[in-house]
Amino acid sequence: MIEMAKIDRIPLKSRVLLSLRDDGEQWTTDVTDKVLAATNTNPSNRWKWVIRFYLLEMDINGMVRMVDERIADEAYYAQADVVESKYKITKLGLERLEAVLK
Amino acid sequence: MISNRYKWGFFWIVWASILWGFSYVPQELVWWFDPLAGLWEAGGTELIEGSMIVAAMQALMFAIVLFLLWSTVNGKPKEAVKNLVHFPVSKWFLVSAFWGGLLAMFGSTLATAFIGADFSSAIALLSGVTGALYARVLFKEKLTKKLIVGLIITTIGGILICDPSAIMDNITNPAKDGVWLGYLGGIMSAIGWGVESCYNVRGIDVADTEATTVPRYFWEMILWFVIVMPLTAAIVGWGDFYSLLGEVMSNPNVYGLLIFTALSLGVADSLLHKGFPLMGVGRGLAVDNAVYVPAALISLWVFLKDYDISIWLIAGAVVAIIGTFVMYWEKEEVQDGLRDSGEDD
Repeated sequence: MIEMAKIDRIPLKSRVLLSLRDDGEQWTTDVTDKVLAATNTNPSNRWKWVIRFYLLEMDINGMVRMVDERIADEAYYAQADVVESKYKITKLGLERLEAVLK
Repeated sequence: MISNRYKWGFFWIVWASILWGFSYVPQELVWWFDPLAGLWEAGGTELIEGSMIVAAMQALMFAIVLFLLWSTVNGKPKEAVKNLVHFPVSKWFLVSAFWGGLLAMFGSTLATAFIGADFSSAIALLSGVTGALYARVLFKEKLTKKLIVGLIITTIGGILICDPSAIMDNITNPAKDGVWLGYLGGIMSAIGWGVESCYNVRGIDVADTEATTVPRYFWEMILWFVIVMPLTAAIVGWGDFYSLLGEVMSNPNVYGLLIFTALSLGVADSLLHKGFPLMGVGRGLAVDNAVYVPAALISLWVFLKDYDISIWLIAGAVVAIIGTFVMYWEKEEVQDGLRDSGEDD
C-alpha cells in the first residue's frame, strides 16, 4: 500500500522506466498505453508523443536501450510513417529508478 | 535519429543563449533604480547585501513566472508539483540551487555590481569547461578528442573576451577598491553554472524537462529567504537589512525588471533543460556560451549604449565560436548515446 502511494507520486518519466522494469522489453505504443492507463492520464495524442519523447531522451542518455524498430500503426499517432522502437531498461536505468523509488 | 536530436538540442540551446544574452539588460538596469542605484555608489558590504536581495528576488520571481508561464502553459503543472514534492527527484534541484543560485547567480550579480554586466556575461563562458569536466566525473559522459580541443579553444576565447590587461589594470588600481569581489563573483559563476548543470541533468534524467525549472528556483528561493538572508541580517543588523529589503520590494520598477529577467534568463534556463538531454551537458554549455556572450554584449550595446565593443571582445568571441563549432561537429563520434549505460554494446 505504501509502495503504491509512493509510485503514484513519482514523475511520469519515471513511470515509463518502472513499466520497462516490471514488464520487460516493450514497444513504445505498449509502454505508452500502460503508463497512461496506470496514471489516469488522458490518452491524447499529445501525451503519446510526450512519452515517445521521454523514451528517446532516455535512450540517448543510456537509461533504456532500443532493441528493435518498426513503423507504428498509423491510427495510433494519427500520422503516417512514425517509427516506434522496442526498448529495454539498462543497468543505469535501473539505478536511476531505484533512486527515485527510495 | 542522431542528426535529429542534435538539431533539436542545438535549436533549444541557441534560443536559450539568445534569451540568456538579452537577460543581462534587465539584470543591469535593476541597478539603475533606487535604492539599488545608491548602493552602487556606496560599494562594500551594502552592495553585497543589495546583490543578495536581487538574487533572492530573482529566484522568487523565476519560481512564480516559470510555474505559470512555462510548466502550466506546456500542460505540465502536475509534473512540476510532483518534481518538487517527491524528494528523491527534488533533492537534485536542491543541490543545483545551491551551486547555481547561491554560488553562480550571486557570483554573477556580484560581478555585475562591482565590475559590469559585460564582464559578468563574458567570464561565465568558462562554465562550459567546468560543466564538461564535471559531467565526465559525475556521468562518465564521453569526451572525444574534438570536444577536448574545442573546450581548450573556447577557454582561450573566454580569456581574450575578459581582456587580461584590463583585469590587471583594475586589480592593481588602488582607486578601484573591492573590485576583486567582482572577479571572485565571476569565478563563482563559472564554477557554479557548470556544476549546477550536471546536477540538474541528474534530476532531468527521471523527470519531465518542461517541469524541472520550477523546483530548481523554488529551492533557490527557500535557500535565500530561509537560510542566507536571516544569517546575513543577524550579522549586519536585522533593521538595516530588512529595511533595505522592504525598500527594494516596494519599488514597482524592480518588479517589472525582474519579470523581464524571468522571461529571458528563466525561460533560457528552461530551454537549456530541454536541450541538455539531447546534446549532453558539456556540448550544451559549449554552444550556449559561444552564442550568449556575443548576444549579451550586443544587447547591452544596443539597449544601454554604454559599452564599447573592444578588439579583445571581437577576437575572443570569434575564437570561442570557432571552439564551439569544433565541438559541435564531432557528432559522428558520439554514435548511439552520450553516456556509458553500464552495459556492453
